[in-house]
Amino acid sequence: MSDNTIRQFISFTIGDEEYGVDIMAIREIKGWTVSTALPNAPRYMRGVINLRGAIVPILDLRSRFGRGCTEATARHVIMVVAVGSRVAGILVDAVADILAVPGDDIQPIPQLEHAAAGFLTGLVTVDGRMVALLDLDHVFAFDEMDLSGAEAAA
Amino acid sequence: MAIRAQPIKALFSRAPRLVRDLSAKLNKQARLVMSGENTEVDKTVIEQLSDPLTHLIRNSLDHGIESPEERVAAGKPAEGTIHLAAEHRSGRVIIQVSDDGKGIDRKRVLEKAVEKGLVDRGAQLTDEQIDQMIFAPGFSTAAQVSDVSGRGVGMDVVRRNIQDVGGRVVVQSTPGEGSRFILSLPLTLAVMDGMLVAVGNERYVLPLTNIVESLRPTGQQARTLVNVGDVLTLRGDYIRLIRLYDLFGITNAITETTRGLVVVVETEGGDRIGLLVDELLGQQQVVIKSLDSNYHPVEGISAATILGDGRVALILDVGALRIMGERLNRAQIEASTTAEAAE
Repeated sequence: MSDNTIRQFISFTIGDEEYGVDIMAIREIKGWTVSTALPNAPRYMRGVINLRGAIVPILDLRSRFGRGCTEATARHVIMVVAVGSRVAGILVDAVADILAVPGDDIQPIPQLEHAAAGFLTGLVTVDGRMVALLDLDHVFAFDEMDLSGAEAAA
Repeated sequence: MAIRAQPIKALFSRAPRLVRDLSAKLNKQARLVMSGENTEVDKTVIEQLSDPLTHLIRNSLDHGIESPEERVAAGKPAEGTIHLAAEHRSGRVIIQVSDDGKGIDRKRVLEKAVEKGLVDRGAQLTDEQIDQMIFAPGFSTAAQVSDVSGRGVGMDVVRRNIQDVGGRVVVQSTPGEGSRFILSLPLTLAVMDGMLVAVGNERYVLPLTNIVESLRPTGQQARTLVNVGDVLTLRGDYIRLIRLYDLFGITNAITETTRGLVVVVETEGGDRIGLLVDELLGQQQVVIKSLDSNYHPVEGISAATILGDGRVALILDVGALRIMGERLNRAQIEASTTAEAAE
């Protein structure tokens, strides 16, 4: 089925890799601020921050992909997103670009390739770069998250 | 407990400029009428309402008020009116944002709700039920997303922000005549007296009502009993000692009981436990904020609050800590028993 609608994304980097989030889901982008740790939370849950009076959980995307914890500095970025009725933040390295791509250009995820495959909805190539598109619902599947705190080394 | 009441004027003050700027931007003509600006509301309620109110005004201008041409064609004055009103009623604060625009397009809302799977096609809904659908998560009927208010993260977030402060919001609409959003808010937010404690670099709040006493135990008072775990002897009674740093996996904390502070707390059920912390940082009133809205319940934590320095501090659930402490002690005893058996 041909999909010529233009989809817009904001892309960001984790290390050398570029990921995209549907622009409609993004509420704001801010610099890293120290978060308050949540006891016995999974390694990739950095904690919660105060966003103008709201308690917003921050997820370390690198850690969520099983690639170790991000050593956050003031230069790191939090992308505040809406996931269903919740507001949450994703800790990433840097914001990259605003992308507008025709729906047709988005490829499905090859099954085994990407370590983060379960969290992606598609791949798209922009200016020769590969951008992996995030499935926020899956990234933030809190109900399914392992809450035992006994995480294997990431 | 003093209520830091302020006239709601502080909240309404940005509205005139907002309406002027937005009408210009959207090529609409609208005037703002305000009433009840002296209605007093707790300062913290005002802070929480700023975003939702802004969004409601934007929504009225964007989706409610028609263009001057459409209005004249409909026999209305070219200039629309947005009315912001506040009053006290039955111990609550009632804020209304109403416009004389075209009202909610129920056909489109219903169609969108069916598309999004929120409602079955052919389901019979009353007009009021259709109107309330605009608050459903992810809902937006803007045919083209205007950068003003159509992001689809609007009304559901507005409602949640209002619910977070213990409020309610409903919408009333008459097609062709306009819409009215009615917010009902408590006079003050849920506030609690708490004791701020430090464990390592973390800060927690203990509800003052749970605290019995606090002490720096002597070597005689703090013991470890076989098959029970750490206990504190206090005037002849033994109470279980819970090491918060252990329970929560906190590094950099004081681990030696005689160098820290034990806060003796009592659960709802009347059980007493001792919580080992680094130090007490002082008593303060805290505004209770839910952790559930954006995350989910965390064991041992009942809610969160924002400290004076802007940091989030978690409010401890004493009853849950008792259960967690017992569980941890049991696990540690089993682990050491197994280890010994293996030798």
